[in-house]
Amino acid sequence: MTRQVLLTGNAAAAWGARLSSADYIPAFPITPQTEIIETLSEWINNGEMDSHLTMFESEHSMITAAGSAATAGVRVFTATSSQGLMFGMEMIFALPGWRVPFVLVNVSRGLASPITLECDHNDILAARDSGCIQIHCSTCQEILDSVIIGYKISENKEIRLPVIVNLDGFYLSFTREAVEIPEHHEVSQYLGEYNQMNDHYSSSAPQARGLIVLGGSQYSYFRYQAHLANLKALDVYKEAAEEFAIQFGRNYSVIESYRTDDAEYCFIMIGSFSTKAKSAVDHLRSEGLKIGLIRPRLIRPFPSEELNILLSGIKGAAVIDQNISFGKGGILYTEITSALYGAHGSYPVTGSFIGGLGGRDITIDEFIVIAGEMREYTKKGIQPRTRLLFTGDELE
Amino acid sequence: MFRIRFHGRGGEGIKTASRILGSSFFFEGFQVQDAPKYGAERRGAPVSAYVRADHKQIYERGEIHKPDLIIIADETLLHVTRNTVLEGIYENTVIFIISAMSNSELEEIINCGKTIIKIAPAVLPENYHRFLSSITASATARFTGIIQIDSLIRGVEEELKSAKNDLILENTAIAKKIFNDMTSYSGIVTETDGTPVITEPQLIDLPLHNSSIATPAIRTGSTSVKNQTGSWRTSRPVILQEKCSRCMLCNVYCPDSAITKNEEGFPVIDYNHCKGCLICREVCPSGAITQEDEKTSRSKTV
Amino acid sequence: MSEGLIKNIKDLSVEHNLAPGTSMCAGCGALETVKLFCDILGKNTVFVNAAGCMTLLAIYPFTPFSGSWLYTAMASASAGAQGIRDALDILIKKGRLSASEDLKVIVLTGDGSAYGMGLSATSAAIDRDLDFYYLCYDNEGYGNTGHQDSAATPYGARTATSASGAGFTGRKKDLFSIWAAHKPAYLATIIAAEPLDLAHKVEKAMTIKGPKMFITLAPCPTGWHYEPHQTVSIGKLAVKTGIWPLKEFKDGTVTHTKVLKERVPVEEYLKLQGRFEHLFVPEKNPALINRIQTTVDQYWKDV
Repeated sequence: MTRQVLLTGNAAAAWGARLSSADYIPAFPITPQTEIIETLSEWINNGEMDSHLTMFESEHSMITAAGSAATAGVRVFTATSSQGLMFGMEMIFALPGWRVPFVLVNVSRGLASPITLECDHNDILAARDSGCIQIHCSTCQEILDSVIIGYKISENKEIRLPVIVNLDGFYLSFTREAVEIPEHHEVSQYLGEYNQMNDHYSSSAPQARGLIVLGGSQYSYFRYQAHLANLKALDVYKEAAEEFAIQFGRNYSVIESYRTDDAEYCFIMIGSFSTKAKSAVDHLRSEGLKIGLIRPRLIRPFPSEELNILLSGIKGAAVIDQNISFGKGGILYTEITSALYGAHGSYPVTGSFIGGLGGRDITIDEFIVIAGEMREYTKKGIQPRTRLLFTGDELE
Repeated sequence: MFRIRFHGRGGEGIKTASRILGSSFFFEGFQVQDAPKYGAERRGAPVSAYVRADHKQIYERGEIHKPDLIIIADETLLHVTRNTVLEGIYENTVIFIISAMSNSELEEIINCGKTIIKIAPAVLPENYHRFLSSITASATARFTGIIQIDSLIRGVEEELKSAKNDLILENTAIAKKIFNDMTSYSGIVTETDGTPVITEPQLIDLPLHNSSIATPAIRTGSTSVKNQTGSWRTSRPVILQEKCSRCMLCNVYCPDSAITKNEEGFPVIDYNHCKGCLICREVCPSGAITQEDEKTSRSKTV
Repeated sequence: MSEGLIKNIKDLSVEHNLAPGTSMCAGCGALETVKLFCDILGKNTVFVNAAGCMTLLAIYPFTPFSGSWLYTAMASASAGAQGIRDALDILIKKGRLSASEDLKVIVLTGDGSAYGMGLSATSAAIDRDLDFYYLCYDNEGYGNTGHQDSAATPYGARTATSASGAGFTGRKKDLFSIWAAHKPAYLATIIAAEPLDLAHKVEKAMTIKGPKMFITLAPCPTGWHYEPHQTVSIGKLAVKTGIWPLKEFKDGTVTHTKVLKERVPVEEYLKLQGRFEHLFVPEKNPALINRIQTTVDQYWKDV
């Protein structure tokens, strides 16, 4: 019997770990993630979850322990946010090279300075080149399900890479939505028995891991293997998502597309604000504009081909980035446009909009304005300059 | 362009030699690249360094694969890492070596290149290891026929300026002597065309491999025995059984697990791995361990 | 004093669990300790390493260990040890690993990590009462990068970043006291030049659950500028001069395991090392030597 209950995004993440039977949870608190480890701790303490949680003194240590425990052969779950992810970044970049599976939930929060507690995506996108797989969520249900799917991909024998499941601070972390909680045994059936593969230490089977290599050839080989495994995760994800859909009835394609079938225009964005884009799409559609939404769920591996197929009939697009690469612009915009460059057929005139930094709202009205600009620049056929979603009132 | 490669051991001054030569070329108005090549190995381990010198800006970079001159500061390297030392040798390559071997022995081992120029350790001061950088740099400077003595000495002084005055003076003195001794070889190393030889590399599409091999992991223990660190040694400890009391202190203190115990209870040195630190000689309470020069020992056993 | 199996030097194993063929410098004082550690602890071990000289013990595809090894990062080897210890405990508890396959977890770091970058992770591991060994090989500088000042560099030593004048003008940090303040289950200073003292301490630690902390002075021919064969002589002098006190901490009490009636003047230790040569050449610097002697004398007066 599946249950539908109201859960915050953080609780949904914790449920994902619980249903996946995570053996080990290295933990460290940080707003807005803390509720995840508090929830897990409570379940462990009152016997509802058979797991072990260790509190660390830093995220750097926490992520080191996550990777180390994974080399020893247990299923690991951990979570962090923002400055915590940055502090652990040395290990975030190191662990994919160890080729160990685990799931880390990142609750997106803008980076200092200035300090903020609220959401944007500069934290998670700083991990873009680490080798970790990235799944981006837009609802609380999706968070729970993505943690489970995350283990399926991470533990696949060809992949063996950490998976980061990303959710937006406040807009998801503290927001309750109706979430269907699958039965534990069904999730266990979906994931199968935890397979250590070659990740174990024992007196009868010594191993040396995390080794230094000498020379660029060896280094190139191992680095490129992690890249190939990351690319391969696209196929593995599709299989895992399909299996998940069959068993649990919820379908998660690598890119979510909303009303794009006959669309001439589209919004492109990741994260929870994409649901706001959906309501803008509905409104604009009611006024006769053929517009849709494209929301990549996977950022690494990047679904270039799928994106090209989805955008093949689109004339104009607007990428909305809740992040900024100083001196360049929106990171998602760079990713999207580079994936389109040189692809067969025509591709849309694409504008770049920076918005929602440090938790700033992006209103429906602003989506409407973006749609207006999109029609203008599409008509002109010229990529417009980057726009910041910022009004005169805010300068007051 | 001149392409010159030095081979020696960590701690012998090979890097300094390349810097002295580099500076000497520079003082003659050349464009220069000089660099050591580091590995993880330490003092005593085979190391190399290289110098490029040209009249115009040098676009080549990194290791020299086709040297016009190879300097071998330590002849034992010819036994332990011959292929590395002689890599890319061709008909125009001059070899300079400090060696006690006869010319015919050397020719037999090297067996390629244009000329072998040798200095026997016997004609050098007993403590010549302290001056290897100046000795090799000054001989090399002379071989180019282009570097003048003043530039060489400036180079020595420049690169050793943090050393004590006495040491600098000793180095400049020996540099002058070697430079003079090598007069007959002036200009033997000639500049070659700067155009690199192009061999088309066969690029492959790397496939995705099994995750357990596609990570730098070792799935068994004690594999380092395959790493023959005996090649680092310049002197070797030798156990005199008649004096040995079989106390095994040498075994206890040897950092490298390179001393074993035989059936009669005597310690046996594993020369494949002994790095020649000679702690065993120092700790032996009965004076049963002596030190032998590695070259002498090798020629005895070969 | 020993309750273990090793009563005298003859009881030390002549066969070694640490294989030859590492790329440590000839005469490495740290490697001597690691070798003794491996012999006494046995093969059922997993070493967790932080960036330092010993990182190069295991270079793909060569490991000297008969047991296991994991390189983590300079700041977090103790956290890596926690992760592995936790994982092994979970696996044994859940019946996925036989208790007979269990391993001793040993953190291996230099002074750079132990005294500095890794101190926070180690402090937390002791707080959590982690059942592990920690072996700090203290060669009194960032050895792997060419011997710059670390928090373990002694007063007066020349390093790559204190290459002139009076040498390093700071003080060597008292890591023993810092760790002791955490009240670990066991804590000791050791040195490979005194293998029996070392063996007794490691054997004692093996009977204790919790954090078992070791700091070994690791004479370093490359960084201290002496000939490799002098490693043991210099190590013995470090003890005889009182510069490296051999001691242990257990149940809240510090005990010195080697108290000398007469200590050799520190000069005998200093003059063998190039890093202290400026105390003697071009002329002797009695003021500096006395300062070092006074610090040592003061320490032993308080013992």
